[in-house]
Amino acid sequence: MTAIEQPPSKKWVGQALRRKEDPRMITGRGRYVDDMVVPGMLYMAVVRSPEAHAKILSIDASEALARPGIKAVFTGEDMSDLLAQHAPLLKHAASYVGDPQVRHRGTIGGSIAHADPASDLPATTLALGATYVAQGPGGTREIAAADFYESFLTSALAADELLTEIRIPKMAGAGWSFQKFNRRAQDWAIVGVAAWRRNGDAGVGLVNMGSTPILATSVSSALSSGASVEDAAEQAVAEADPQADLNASVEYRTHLAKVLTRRALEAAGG
Amino acid sequence: MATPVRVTMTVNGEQRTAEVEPRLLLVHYLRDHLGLTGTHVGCDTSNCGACTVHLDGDAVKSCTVLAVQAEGSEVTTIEGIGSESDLHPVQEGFWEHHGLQCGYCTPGMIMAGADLLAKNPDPTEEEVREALAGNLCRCTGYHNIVKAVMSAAKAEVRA
Repeated sequence: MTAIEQPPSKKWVGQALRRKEDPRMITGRGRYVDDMVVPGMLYMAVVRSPEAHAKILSIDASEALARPGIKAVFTGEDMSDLLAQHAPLLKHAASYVGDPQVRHRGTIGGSIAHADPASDLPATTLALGATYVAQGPGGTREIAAADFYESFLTSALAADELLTEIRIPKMAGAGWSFQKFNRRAQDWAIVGVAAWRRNGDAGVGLVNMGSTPILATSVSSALSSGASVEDAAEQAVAEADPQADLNASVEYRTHLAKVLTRRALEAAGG
Repeated sequence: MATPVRVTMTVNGEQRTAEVEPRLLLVHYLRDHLGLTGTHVGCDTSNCGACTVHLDGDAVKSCTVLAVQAEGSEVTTIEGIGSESDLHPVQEGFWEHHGLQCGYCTPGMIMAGADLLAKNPDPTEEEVREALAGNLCRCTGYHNIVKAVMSAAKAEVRA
């Protein structure tokens, strides 16, 4: 044991400190999302079924759309149809997130902005070559998914920016697969792989294989230069930096990533 | 849409006039027309108290008051009760006693606490808790909030 010779600092230790952020909040100048007004902003209202435990058979939005000032009405059907047609991999991967209750409340944008390497949708949109649009007081800017994830739970979004759009290139007939390995249905992936292939091109995103979602570019380049699926999958961890946790060691994750990448590429076809 | 009506009221000492929809709530008038976003909407159902303001010297939930009902009245919001350089004792108490974390319920808590002290400058802890019964906090817990109001009472009594 080392004897403590210096008395603890009187400045910090044992003192209740006034928080720096409080003055704005006790004077009504805190800024919450609901307080923000940006040019051209539209207002959204969520309409819920007035019936508990009922099945929604159809939604007729024509009366709402006919009202002055209404720009659009979106129902679950719009979303899934569009995605199913143009980005089936994203729609499919989204069905692996958490459980139905979680998916009812969560949003793709929220998942991306949270920048969790263990989330399914950041890696999937990364694989799909998405562009994210951020909006702040200074205007809007586009951020390529490949530049967005900076470190664990940290994205390129500034403190005063919101993620307002996610642009996904149309998959245009590409084959695809989402492989998720977890122990219980609603768990995070121990490792996950989102992949698409079209002619010689491919995109592969890895879930939970580093401090950010990982774009496995070495796999794509191996495939485009003619490597077999087996050999390309061996490159799965070239960009990754897997961590050990209670579920898996680094070796285990590395092995899983290669196996799941091979399976995903096989399922996605040429 | 119903015909707009003209309302005039004094908000934080300044006379304000506007044409508003008759159904417009006072909280939306304050937030959306006057830009006084310190008053928050936490529940829309008059449960949470985040929208508490003073209407002619009484704490009210501004989501339960139509703007037109405030015609001719004096309204004080969190922005009007004190400023950073001249904090109301209750604001001071919240800062000093860690009465807030996220700060969302805070303006309503402060307005409810200030209303109590204006009428009862030296309340018991039970009276403070009773006065804050219409305000919900979901993160800090009530212990430090009560402490904050109690400390303000002592400050005011001394003053």
